Amino acid sequence: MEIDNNNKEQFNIPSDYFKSFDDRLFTELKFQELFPNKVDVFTVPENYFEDVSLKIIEQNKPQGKLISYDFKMFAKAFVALAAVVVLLFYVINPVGTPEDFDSLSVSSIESYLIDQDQLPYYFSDEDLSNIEDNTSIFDQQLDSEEVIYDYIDQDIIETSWTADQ
Amino acid sequence: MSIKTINPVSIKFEDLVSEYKERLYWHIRRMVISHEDADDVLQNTFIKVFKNLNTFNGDSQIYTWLYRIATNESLTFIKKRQRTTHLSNEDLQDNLIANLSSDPYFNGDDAQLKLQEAINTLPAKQKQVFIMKYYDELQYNEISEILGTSEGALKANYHHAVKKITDHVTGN
Repeated sequence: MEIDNNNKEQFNIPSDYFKSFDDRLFTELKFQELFPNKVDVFTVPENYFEDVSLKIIEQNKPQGKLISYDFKMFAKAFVALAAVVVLLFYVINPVGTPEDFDSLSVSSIESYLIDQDQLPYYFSDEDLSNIEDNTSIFDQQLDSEEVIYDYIDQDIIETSWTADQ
Repeated sequence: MSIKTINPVSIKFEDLVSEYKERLYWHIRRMVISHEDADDVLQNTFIKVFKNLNTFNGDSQIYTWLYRIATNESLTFIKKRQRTTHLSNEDLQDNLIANLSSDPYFNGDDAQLKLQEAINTLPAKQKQVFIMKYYDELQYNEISEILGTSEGALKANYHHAVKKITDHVTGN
């Protein structure tokens, strides 16, 4: 806004102040002459403001909002937790990682040997009688890795040889 | 009009509704004209207030903040109405005024009807400023905070609005 510095007063005024003053004053006076009283021309239905309060508060119930918010939080937490559990499962026990000898259960090896009908080649009559007595052969003396590896190697060689024939 | 200062930490939504619903309603009503529309906009305003109450940081007066939301909701409503009816702003205002005389919730005489007609011919900004200054009796510094416009520009807007209304009513 430009400032009028031509006057001799210590206070300045906008340069066009007095030029527009008349226009602003007479416009306002004319308006007040036309509409001397401010009239509220709009009305509302009876009890509107009482009813609208209840309606607005009902629509925006804090309890409902909180429940909704908590449910969303719970759902997000549940999904995140499930994702972590799945991730940990694969990190701790990755699919496809070969199991070592220690991870094989005795019963699995025992079952394998019985299925292959190879027991008589590797076990004495006494051992076999123990089996018949439902006593695990591995509990007694065949818990050595070497014995098992020897059998598996031989089994694989024999199987390959038979297939070649 | 006194404006209360409220600590944002202690604001209760129910108290806001109780305290400000009428003032906001009348502001909205003068913007959108019909009671049904004003009712919709008032509820939308308070829904927005409810959702954003935690973001109110107390930098401005609570009433200024509410008024800004109500003004924006009114303008959004008018624009949406324009889009759905495919009418220009002028045609939409003409329709509103045409329906006003038969509105059961309007009790003005011919002069008042003419005044409403004149107000609704104003550009949006001048209309807002006129309503806030004349009807809502807000100070320029308050309107400035609500609309983000300088006080000098608001005074010019108000003056132009009054002049246009006077010319419209007197047929000049």
